[in-house]
Amino acid sequence: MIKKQDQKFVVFSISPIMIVMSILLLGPLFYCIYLSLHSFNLTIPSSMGIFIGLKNFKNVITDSLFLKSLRITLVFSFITLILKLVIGLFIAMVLTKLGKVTTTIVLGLIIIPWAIPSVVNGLTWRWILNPYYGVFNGVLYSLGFIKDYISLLTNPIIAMGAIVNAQVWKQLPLVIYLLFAALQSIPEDLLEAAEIDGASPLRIFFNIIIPFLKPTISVLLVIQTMESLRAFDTIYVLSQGGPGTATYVIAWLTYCKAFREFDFGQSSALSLIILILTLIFSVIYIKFLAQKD
Amino acid sequence: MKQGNIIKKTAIFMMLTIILFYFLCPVLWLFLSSIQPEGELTVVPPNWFPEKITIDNFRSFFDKELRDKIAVPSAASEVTSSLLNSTIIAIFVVISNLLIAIPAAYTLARFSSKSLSFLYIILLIFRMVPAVAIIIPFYFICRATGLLGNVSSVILGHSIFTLPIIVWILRSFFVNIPIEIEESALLDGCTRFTSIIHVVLPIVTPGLIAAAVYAFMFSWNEFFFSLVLTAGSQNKTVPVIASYFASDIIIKYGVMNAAAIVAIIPPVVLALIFSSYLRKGLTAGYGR
Repeated sequence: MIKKQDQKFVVFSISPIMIVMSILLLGPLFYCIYLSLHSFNLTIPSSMGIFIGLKNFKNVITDSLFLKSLRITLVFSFITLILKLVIGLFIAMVLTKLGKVTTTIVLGLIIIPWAIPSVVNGLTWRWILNPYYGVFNGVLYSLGFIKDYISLLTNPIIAMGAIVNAQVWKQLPLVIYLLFAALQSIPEDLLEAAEIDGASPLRIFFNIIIPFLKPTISVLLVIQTMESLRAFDTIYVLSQGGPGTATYVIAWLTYCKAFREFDFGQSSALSLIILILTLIFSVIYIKFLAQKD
Repeated sequence: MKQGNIIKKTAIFMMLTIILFYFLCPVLWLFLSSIQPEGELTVVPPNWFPEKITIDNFRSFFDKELRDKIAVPSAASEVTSSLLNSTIIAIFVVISNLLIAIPAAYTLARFSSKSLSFLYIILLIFRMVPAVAIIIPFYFICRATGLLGNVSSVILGHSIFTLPIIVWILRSFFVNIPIEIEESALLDGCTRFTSIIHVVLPIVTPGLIAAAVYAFMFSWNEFFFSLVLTAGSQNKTVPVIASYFASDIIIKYGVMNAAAIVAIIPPVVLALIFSSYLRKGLTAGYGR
């Protein structure tokens, strides 16, 4: 409990952020609920503001594009997650074998992909994959794999691959930092004892290292999945949801519904659905954190 | 034994090279492409090493007349004003957020009660809200209050996402300070408030740096809110300007790369200088 003389301090220090966040977040959130229950389609001006209950939600869920987008987002999340964890763990483990100075330098340098704006991330790969002058084509051409430059981003699978690659490339540094910190927390003597006892590297990995990493991996699983639900910037720059609707992730769908189809009622409903999905993940995350403490 | 060691070391060295190559080459390529004239960029296969170097691309990026002439797709927004906007917005986000977050983080770290734990959980949940969920109403609210073309709407918009994370980073730093330090300050007659300013904050400076740099980077790099809130106005931010180059209309690739380089300089420089602080701040937060 809080001592009486501190109570004033506590109230004064916690209020500003709570007030600010409530205004900035709860206000828009309630307005979002309001919008989702009414018709706010700029292309149907006659019905602006009319209460239509859950009709927006119904329209959103029964839209085949919604189901496709959900599927695409799940596939996208899953693939990027696996890649981030596997590659991240591998790199983190390599880094533990380096000397202290080298490690610090390398960890410092690899922050660069994480530091750049995701828009520029998109632009970088867009240039690399350029169908006329891109260096990716250039490498394939110089190595003799192709006779002519190919248009890469017009292929749905390559487009998805490009988005996955851009996301993974950008977010790996953070994953590596976390896994590296977790690896460092494994007591040296435990590893040494296992080696002396003659355990094979594979056994050491699965029986000692993985258990120590479990908390971090769980946290990463949840947070990175949430990140995938938010993915927008890279798609805006690299593929605009295309080719066709091949990379139509859920955040992109929401953006299009609002700012291309001008149906603010439906996009608000969609936003709330995404919010609920995200909240489910946060509950898992928080429950997990509470467990740890 | 020795031979096994050499093989192992060579393998690790090779891995290291591949790792660094993977992370750094795309940006390096971006840079190399930004300093070559357009003609050099449009050769097949590409020049692996730049043969001619120029700063014309950067000049074109900043020169309004040149930009119009070489068909860079964009609104009439000025590039220099976007740099100014992004900087102002980021600085204001950092300052305002730190002012609000420091007391909150301290309180959450030092005191515990049912209501505080509840508020902390609420704060964590706030952090999980995706931008798409609140952008539309936020846009309408800003329009209604006349803030739409103003940088303040963007500052507020960014703060929604930076505040929870900053509190979270700072809290983990505050928790790690032994309580005896403040207790001796309080015994010496300080109020809690002055004890924070004079005793605790100097110790937790690395955390402040980590939080400030993170907030600056987030704000500078932010795209979605900035895009929507500045649509139709003359005030844009740097990522928004950069996004104009993601177009199929014929553009000058040199200028596109130059724009990208300009966009990444502040966050990358900050990240490189303060990488250890950022690393500590981010892993400490997650670790709890």
